Amino acid sequence: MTIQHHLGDDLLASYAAGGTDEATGLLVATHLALCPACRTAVAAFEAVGGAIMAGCEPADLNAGAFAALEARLGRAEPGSSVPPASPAPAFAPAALSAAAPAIPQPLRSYLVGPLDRLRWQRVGPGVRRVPLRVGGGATARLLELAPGLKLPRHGHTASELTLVLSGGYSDESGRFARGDVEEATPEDVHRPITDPDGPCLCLVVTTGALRFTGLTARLLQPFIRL
Amino acid sequence: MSGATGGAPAATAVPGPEDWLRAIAEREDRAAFASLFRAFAPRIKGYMMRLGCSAAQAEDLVQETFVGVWRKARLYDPAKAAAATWIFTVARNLRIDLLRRERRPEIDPDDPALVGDAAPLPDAELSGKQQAARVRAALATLPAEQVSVVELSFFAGKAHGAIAEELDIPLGTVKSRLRLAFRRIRSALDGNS
Ligand SMILES: [Zn+2]
Repeated sequence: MTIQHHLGDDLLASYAAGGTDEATGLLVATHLALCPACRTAVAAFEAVGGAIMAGCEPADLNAGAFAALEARLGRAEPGSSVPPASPAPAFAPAALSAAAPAIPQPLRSYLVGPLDRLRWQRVGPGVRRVPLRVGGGATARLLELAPGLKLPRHGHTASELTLVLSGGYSDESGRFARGDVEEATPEDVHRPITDPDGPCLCLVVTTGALRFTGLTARLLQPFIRL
Repeated sequence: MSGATGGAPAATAVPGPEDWLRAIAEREDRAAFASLFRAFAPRIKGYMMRLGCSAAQAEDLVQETFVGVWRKARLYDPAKAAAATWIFTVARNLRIDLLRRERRPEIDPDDPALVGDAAPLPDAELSGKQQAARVRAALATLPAEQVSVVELSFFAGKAHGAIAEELDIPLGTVKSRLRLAFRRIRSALDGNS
C-alpha cells in the first residue's frame, strides 16, 4: 500500500504551526498516522516553528514570573502526572470487524464505538454518514459509499478534504485508496465512482455545504447533504 | 593558540537546552529549569503577542508552557526534536487548548494502526538538534521574500489572502513563494537536499 495523494505543504505547515481548526487537524493527523513521509514534513515545519519562536523579539516578563512558576512546581513533579496524549479510546482497533482495516488514532477517539455500532444516517441511495463532534467552524463526518456507486457530478461551495480509510474511488484526479487525500476547492467539479469490490469509507471535512450540478443532482440535493 | 583554548574542554561541552531538559527529566534540576526559562520565556511571550495574544494571555501561556515542560520533560526525545522545537509544540498546543478551547488531534505513536516508516530514513541517525540545524540552514538560504511569507503564515496562522494584503502582493505570488519555501524546508530532512 503506497499513498499516492498526500496533503499539500500549506496544510501540513498550518497544522505544524497550530493554525488548523479541529476538524481539519483531525483529518491531517489521521493521514499522518498512515503516512511516514508527511510525518517527516511536519517535523521539518515544527522545527521552523521552533526557530521562529526562538528568534522572536523577546517581551519583558512580569516581575516575579519565575517565582510564581517555581511555587507551582512543587505540585507538579516531572513525570508524576503526565496526562495521556489523547483520551483513551472506548474500544481497541481489534474490535473493528476483521474485514475492515483499523481506524487509526486520533480518529478512533472521535468515534463512540466500532463502525458497525455507530449511528449511521442514510442520506441517499448507497450513501450513509456519521457526523463527528468537533470544535471550531468546519464539520467532519464519516461517509460510507456503496461499491460501484456513481456519485452525481458536484462542485463545492467551500473547500472539502476527503481522506480514504478503506475501499477506494476514482474521479478526474485519479484513484484514491486508504490513506489518500483529495483536496477540492470551490472551482473543482468532480464525479467520483467507488471501486466495485467493497464499500468506500472516508473521513470528509468541509467548510461549506456541497452544491450539486445537473438535474438528477438537483433532485438529490435535498437528500444528499454529504 | 596558546592561552585561551589550551586544555579547555571542547565547545560542545557547554550545556544547552537539550541538556537542561534532560537534567529536568533525570533529576528535577531547578537550575537547569531556570536556564531554560531565561532562554525561552521572553521569546515565547513575544511569539504569543505576535500571534495576537494580550500581554496577560501571553504571560499566562508562558506560565502554563513551563509547567508543561517541567511535567513532561521525561517525554522529550532528543532524537526526534531540538529543545526549541519541542517547547514550541508544548506552547502551540496550550494555546489551542486554552485560547481556542479546541482539541488538538495528534497521532498516537503507540497506536497499533500507525503505519511505521517503511525503511529508516537516510538521516534517521541525525539527532533532533541536528535536524533543526539543517532546517535553520535551509531557512537561512531562502530569499528574504520567501522568509517573510513563511513567518507570516506562522504568525497569527495568517491566511494567504491576509498575507497578500499585508505585503501588498498578488495572492498567486504568496502561494508560489510559500510553495518554493516549503519545498526547500522539507528537503532539509528528506536527505536529498
Ligand atoms: Zn502523506
